[in-house]
Amino acid sequence: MRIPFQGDFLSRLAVVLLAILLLLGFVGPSLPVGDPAAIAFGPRLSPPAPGWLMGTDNLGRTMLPRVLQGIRITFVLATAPVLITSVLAVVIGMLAGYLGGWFDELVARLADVLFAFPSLLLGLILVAIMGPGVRGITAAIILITLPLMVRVVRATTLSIASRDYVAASRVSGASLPRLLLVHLLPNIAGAVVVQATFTISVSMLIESGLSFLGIGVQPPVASLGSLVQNGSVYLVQAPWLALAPGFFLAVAIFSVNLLGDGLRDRLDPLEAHGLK
Amino acid sequence: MPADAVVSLRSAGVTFSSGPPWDRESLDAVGTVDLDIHRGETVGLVGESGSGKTTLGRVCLGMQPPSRGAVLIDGAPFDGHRGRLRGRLQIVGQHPEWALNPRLRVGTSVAEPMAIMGIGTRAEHRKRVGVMLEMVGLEASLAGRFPHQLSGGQRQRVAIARSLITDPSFVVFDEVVSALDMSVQAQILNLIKDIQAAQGFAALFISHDLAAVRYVAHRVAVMLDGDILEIAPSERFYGRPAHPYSRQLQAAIT
Amino acid sequence: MKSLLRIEKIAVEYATEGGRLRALDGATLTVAAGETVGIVGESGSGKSTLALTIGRVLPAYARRVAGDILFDEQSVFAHSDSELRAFRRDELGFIFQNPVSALDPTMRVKYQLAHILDLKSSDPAIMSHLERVGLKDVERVANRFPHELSGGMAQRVVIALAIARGPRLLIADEPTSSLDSTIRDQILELLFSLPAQTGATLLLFTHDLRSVAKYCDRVAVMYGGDVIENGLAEAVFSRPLHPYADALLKAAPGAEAIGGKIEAIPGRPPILRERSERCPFAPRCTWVVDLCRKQRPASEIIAGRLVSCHRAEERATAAPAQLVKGANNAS
Repeated sequence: MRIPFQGDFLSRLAVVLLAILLLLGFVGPSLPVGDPAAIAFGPRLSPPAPGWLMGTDNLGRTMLPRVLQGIRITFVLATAPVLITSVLAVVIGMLAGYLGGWFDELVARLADVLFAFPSLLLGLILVAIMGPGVRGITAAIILITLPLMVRVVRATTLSIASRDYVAASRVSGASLPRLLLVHLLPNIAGAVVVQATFTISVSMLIESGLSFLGIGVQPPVASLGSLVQNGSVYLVQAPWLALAPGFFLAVAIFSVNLLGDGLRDRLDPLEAHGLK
Repeated sequence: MPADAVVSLRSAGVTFSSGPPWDRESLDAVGTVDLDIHRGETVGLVGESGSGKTTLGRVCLGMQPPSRGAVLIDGAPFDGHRGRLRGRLQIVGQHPEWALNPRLRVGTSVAEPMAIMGIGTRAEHRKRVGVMLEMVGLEASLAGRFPHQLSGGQRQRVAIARSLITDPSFVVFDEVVSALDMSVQAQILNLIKDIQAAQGFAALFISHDLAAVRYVAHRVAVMLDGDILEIAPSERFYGRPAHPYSRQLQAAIT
Repeated sequence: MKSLLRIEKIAVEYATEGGRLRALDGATLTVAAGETVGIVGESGSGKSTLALTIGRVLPAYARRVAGDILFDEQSVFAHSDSELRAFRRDELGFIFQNPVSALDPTMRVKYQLAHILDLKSSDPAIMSHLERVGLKDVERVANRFPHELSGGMAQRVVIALAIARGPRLLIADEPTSSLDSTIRDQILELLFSLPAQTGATLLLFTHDLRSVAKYCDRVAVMYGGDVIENGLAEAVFSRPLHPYADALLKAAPGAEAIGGKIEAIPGRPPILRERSERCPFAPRCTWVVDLCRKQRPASEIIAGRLVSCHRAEERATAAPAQLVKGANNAS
């Protein structure tokens, strides 16, 4: 198989790690690794053993399928809101950057206000309003990650909009949709992909943070964050309960960030040309 | 007003303001300018960076509404609606690396003004693009390439081809040669001069370089701090320009 | 006059993502003490690389592959690290294109001068250094940060820093191209007053033929990483022997008659990957003959200057009318 990022060791490492994690998360649970929901599958708080490779928890559930499922939940809960954030940010940021005027001012001020809140506090407030669970987490992640994303899109738009081909198209009488879709969007897409990648790691942190506080995903669903929270109670008697999901969470965030770095070197028009 | 003025500025000026409403700072980018650009002539606009010449070019194209005074394009006051003017006005800019959308093939970029006007079929576009590319001294086969495969000079030629594909009545050339190598600058200056003579559109040639301006233009306007100090036939700028500042500019090139 | 700087067949290559780039391809130039030399070339001619190579301030991905540069008969490549630092500090003064970015943005002007001169910032000698470069109101300038200065003032400060320790060689790389044209002449006047004032030698690297013609004793024209013509400015500008030098002069607007035409050079400058075995200008030259494509011309003394062209001899003796035609049928 050809791995992208020829010659860039760290980026290739990121691709390989992510591929392994995704395989584990999406294919792993359907392998014969045991039923993640079965109580008293084994003894309680048992260390890793042949029947339960990652040990068992306080209810005697085998941890391996629970961690594999957690990986999947973590990726889904981190990625889905970022997709929504990206779409919203592209629409808002492009219009603000290109049109300027009062709309731009309004967007900038709102972004400032959201930015001023510590992200976890903002998450807590939202979950308090929407209730704990997937919907609350999703809303929290979108609102926390939106301001930065809008700023990136807006700044990139400003830079691209000042280019000669945009001016030429505008002078020719091009419509707003043509300018946005033909000239701006394809040329800011790289920056958006890069920023979205970094944002996925941020949203993993937010989701785990909220889940760790117990207001994220609710049982029986478990993400890596909520597994760490469960395990933290038994950190002394059964450290594997927190360490195994913690390890996978760290690897996930690490490799997503590395991937972002690699993509930035390749795709980001500002990093690659404008700021040189 | 002579009947053949394509673009006329009537006491036009632009004031930029910035900062919050309670602490507005304003700057007169263009003071008060009267200027007629006629069919078949190139007006050169020379001035230092910050003299307002790029802003003046944008006013002439209706991209920058004047804060005072009026702009008449094709004899009618410009009201902000481009519909009537689609394909009539064009601009070629300074940066060869940004002249063309990097995601589009050269041919698509050149044909864009036709697409915007909604004229011609795809085949007609292709044919006309070939004609235009040859007119600016390139091979028609370049239409299938992407901009990054072209040199800076080639990209400026493509931008010129795009600007002329709809037979515009007015073209602004804004510092089009300043980022090019000396030997390539001469090629582009000659191209602009020849094509303007052949096609007869009105043109505004903006540059900080008086030598380039007087070479290409029929009349030269000298701009300083937002105002036009002197406007005269370019012959005058080979001899003795009237304004002391113009003479200073001239001293810099001899 | 004895030579201060001898550049001998220097070749420098850059390792880039797109492969090797040969920026200097055997350039040779000798500069006598006290001379002012204009080094003219387009982008890719190697002039900026040459400016950097003299002070050995090339980026890490650049490599000298051949040749040598002798300053005061000593190779700059033979210096140890500490010798190199001393050489740069005491013997060289650099003046770059963008004065504001050449200055330390965090330091007031007087501290930057004090730092270079090893003086206290209150020392009155600092003010005299600023006066020397024609700055008025030196007290105020001394207390400013670089971003508070206009481009012209900042370039004067850069010049003051460059000459502060009395270097013997001043290297100015496009010192006026970021400045407005009305200020350019003032800065060039100042620069070219320095050799007489301090005895320094001045190298002006530029694409601007006009300023070289106006101010320099000698001109060296670079093309394809080589110096292709090098002689007294007056001689070269009045009758360039290398067809490229000739074409370059004719391509610059400014000297044409009213309604006259400038002659553009077709094609564009070469990008070298390895040593050129032919004349680098051959593909664009109107004087080209078969020999030019087969053999690279050696640099020869013709009509009082060094020229690398197979047909320079012929051009030197040709009647002016033949030069204008410039055609291949001349032989």
